[in-house]
Amino acid sequence: MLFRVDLGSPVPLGDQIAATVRGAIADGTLRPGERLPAARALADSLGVNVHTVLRGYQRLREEDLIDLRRGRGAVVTGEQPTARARLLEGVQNLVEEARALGLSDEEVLSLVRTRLASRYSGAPYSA
Amino acid sequence: MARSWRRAGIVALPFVLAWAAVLAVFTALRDRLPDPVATHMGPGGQADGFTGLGAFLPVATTLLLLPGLIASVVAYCSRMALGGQRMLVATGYGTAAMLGYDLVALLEANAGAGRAAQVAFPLWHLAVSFAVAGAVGGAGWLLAGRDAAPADEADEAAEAAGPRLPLGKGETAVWTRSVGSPVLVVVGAGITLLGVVLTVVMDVTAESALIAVGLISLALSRCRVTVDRRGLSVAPWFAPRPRMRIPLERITKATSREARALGLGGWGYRIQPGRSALVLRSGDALFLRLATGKEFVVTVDDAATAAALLNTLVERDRTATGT
Repeated sequence: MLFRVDLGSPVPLGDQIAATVRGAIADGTLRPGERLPAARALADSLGVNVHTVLRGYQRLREEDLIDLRRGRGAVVTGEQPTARARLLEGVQNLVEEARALGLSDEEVLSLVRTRLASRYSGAPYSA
Repeated sequence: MARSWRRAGIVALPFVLAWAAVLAVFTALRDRLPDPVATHMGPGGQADGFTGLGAFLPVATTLLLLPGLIASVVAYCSRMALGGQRMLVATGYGTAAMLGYDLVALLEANAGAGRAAQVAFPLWHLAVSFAVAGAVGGAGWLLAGRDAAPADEADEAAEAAGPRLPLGKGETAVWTRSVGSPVLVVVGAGITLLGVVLTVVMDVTAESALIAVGLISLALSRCRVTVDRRGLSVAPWFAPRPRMRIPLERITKATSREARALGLGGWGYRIQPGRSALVLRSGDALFLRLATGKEFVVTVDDAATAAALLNTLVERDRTATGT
């Protein structure tokens, strides 16, 4: 897979790395069970700090897209990672567009809540 | 290049001749051979291993005809001129000659001794068999050289500008992919298993070489190929070292196309005149034209992206260093 980071971009490098992997999972380039390059090797290749790469991997783990295990490295999880990655990209787009419109966090959340409520009428949203 | 029965015949020839010689000597000496015959010699040249007379011919046939058959099937299927794989052909000729010489000398020694336990096999036989192997191997080398390799058909494609992958000014990109070889896994596991079985059954230490070869095949059966700001690197899947690296300065141009494993000389790390190749499977492959005029090939999926990124990085490197 292809990792791209832009050193001139305001987006943190770790997030850029996570976004690359997320994109690769979403478009099927990375399949469940596939292993990501070792953080140290990738950091060497990109010319960035190994902690930057690990921050990116950590974010992907929080999103349940990869498993991080000592000694095994980072592996794409077996549970519908493709659909999950697409959903997360959608969320990312939602947030970016809301920010561009100048909406506050609370306004965005209430928009999503309203949508969830209308879709699953009868199932109250519990925060 | 078309398949050729003639090439298959050329590589099989020494094995068939050696087998015929062993068969002829065995038939001629049959009445004088002890049963069992001595088939293994200790360090002093004294017999210490024995085989039933009835098993001798089947074992000798397998030893000689099986490798001959494999060599000719590979030569037939690879569609490659023998001139491009002279070392392989020469090795086949040398091996067949050495096996043939040793088996014939062994039969002679057995026939002269009367009883298998008394068989002596002077060690100068080993020296002679090496010399014979060298001479016959050399003949194989010359013979293979007469079957000239054709001009590289890829040259035309290489003339066109290679693909590019646009990168922003501050942008860095890394392409990495792991590639596995079912063939090397099966071969490696098979050889390791054979080595272990032989060690247990026959209690000989020489078979540890088989285990080592098997484990090396297994270790190389999955590699990670990486293209980054430094160039191309290939490392085994389980560790960053040992690593094979081709720096950007040494790369002139990268292209990608489909390649067949046998067309590249077989599986594993293959060295041929003007080209070295890391072949894990047939299919998508990355071709590098090097500054030395030689070619390096590694079979890997999505080689097109790797080639595009390499060309872009090479170009950027040239601009930056002003060469």
